[in-house]
Amino acid sequence: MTRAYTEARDACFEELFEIASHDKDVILLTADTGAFAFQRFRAELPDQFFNVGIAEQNAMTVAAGLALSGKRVFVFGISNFVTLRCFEQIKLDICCMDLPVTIIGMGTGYVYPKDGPTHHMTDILSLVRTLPGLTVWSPSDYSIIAAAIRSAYRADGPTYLYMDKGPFDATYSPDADFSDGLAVLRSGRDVTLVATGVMVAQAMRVATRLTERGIDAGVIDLYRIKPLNVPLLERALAGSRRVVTVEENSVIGGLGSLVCETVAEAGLPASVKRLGIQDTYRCDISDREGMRALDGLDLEGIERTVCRWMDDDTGYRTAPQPLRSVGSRRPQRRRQTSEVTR
Amino acid sequence: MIHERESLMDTERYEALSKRTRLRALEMALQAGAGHLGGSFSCADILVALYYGGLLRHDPADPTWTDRDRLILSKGHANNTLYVILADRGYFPPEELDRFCRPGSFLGNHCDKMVPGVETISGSLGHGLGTAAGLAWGARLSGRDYRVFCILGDGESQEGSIWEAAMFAHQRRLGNLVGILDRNRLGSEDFTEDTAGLDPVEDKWAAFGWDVRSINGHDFHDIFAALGDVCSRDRQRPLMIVANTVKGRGMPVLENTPRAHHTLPKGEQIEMARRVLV
Repeated sequence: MTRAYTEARDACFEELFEIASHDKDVILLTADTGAFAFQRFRAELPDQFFNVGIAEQNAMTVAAGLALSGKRVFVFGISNFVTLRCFEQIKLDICCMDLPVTIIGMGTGYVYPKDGPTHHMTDILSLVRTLPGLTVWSPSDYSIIAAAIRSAYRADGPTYLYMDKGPFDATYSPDADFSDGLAVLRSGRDVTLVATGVMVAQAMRVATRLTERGIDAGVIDLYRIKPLNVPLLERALAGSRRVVTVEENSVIGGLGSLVCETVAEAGLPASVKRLGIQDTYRCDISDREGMRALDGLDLEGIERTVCRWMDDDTGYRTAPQPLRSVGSRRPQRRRQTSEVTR
Repeated sequence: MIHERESLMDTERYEALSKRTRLRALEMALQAGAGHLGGSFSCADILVALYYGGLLRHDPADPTWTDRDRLILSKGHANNTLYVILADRGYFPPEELDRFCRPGSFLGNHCDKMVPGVETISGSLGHGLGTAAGLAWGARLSGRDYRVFCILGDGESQEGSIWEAAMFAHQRRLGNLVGILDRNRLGSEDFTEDTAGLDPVEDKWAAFGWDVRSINGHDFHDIFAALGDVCSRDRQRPLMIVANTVKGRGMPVLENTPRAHHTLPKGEQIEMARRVLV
């Protein structure tokens, strides 16, 4: 019987512990991160849990070697470090050899809003979706995290679990079937918000606020980025004239790009606005909603974008709010691509 | 299963096999107009010892045999001599060598796992030792007694990931892991000591907790003396064989030159190389 969880780490690691306690070939590696969550592994499965140190490239090649020896390997770390630092190892040693290795990237988007660009996960989705053969989960809910772990364990090839710590709105039943890869959480005739991960709850709140303004907004939760369920996404978007994508990720290459590709290739009549992190490094220090506000990803910002779009298109009279100021906002250091000379 | 121990003094036979292997690799590369003969020739004698000298426990009829020793050619560009040897040992038909780098062939210019007898993809440097360490660790965790050999380039050893793997292998006491450093002193375009010097490389490996043996990588006495006992010893530390070699060994015109990395002999150089290798 599937369990109901109320914490992201519990959903991930208790589910994994349950699997590992029945299969000694399941190995969990950490690159010196998340020790507290692993106390039970360390105490009860000491031959299946290992801290391999702050060496992510080696963690990935070792995971590949273990998988080649017959193990099913899970590697945990902060998303940036277990993705960017070792991207080539993931690409060649894990994905290209189609090995049963699961990378659990902890944290998405601005999960560490006060830690600066080194800890902003602004491009993970854009990058990992380029890797052939990799299944990419971007859960919006505890039940999906647990299901992703179970799915990864059963998979013959590699999996990437891009996991936020939450809190999430528990949307799904613990024993729901997530094989579709996406879900229409609510339908709306005026605009459809497509979101992923922790931004699904944000989109749902915006949809509620829009309803109060007389705008009927739908929400699609795209919780599996790859393989994308193209036919289902096409069907879900078929009735929409306006689509707004919402992600705590670069507007380049992530959810917004994915939706644009789908709409364009299917010849759907929808117009798409991409809300995401602009092509810049954010050096600001703020809380998470404050960081989102820099790119109009906060509740007011998303609402404002939709309202203005509706105004432009239909003459709706709404009352857009001014951009909320961020108290500790520093002057932005914008590095445009054209200035990069390397 | 091939696990016979050859006479340690049967060096003439191995030298003849090495010449034959290099000559076939030369012809294969010339035919394809592609290859990395320099690095393939510097590790050729080590490969001959491993595959013909009974050092490597393997079975060409069953390339995925669970208890086979694993060989990771981390310097995956040096696959020319490896492919010749794998074909000769029966992993795939020798005629495939004539299709090296041709459309439709499974033999490309870098190692790929789809080639029978090849354990991992390699070609981007710095990956193989970590994978080898993972395999060796997996053997330990599963109670299996196979060994893992990993042939590294010295230019490759300028990659930081090699040293991450070095620390890890020592930490896990991977005595079933044997590294062989093809110390030809050349990278892709320059001498290692002129770019990011490795010397004293033996001291570096020893400082990382490995047992180290330094040999002449073209001398079969040395090779067997260094590798002959790894099958029987109950090691608690990984072993690094620093094999001092010459890039392009066997092609005098390219020996120990930066051009040896992926330049093929041309014109009269071809006949010169053939004469040396016959």
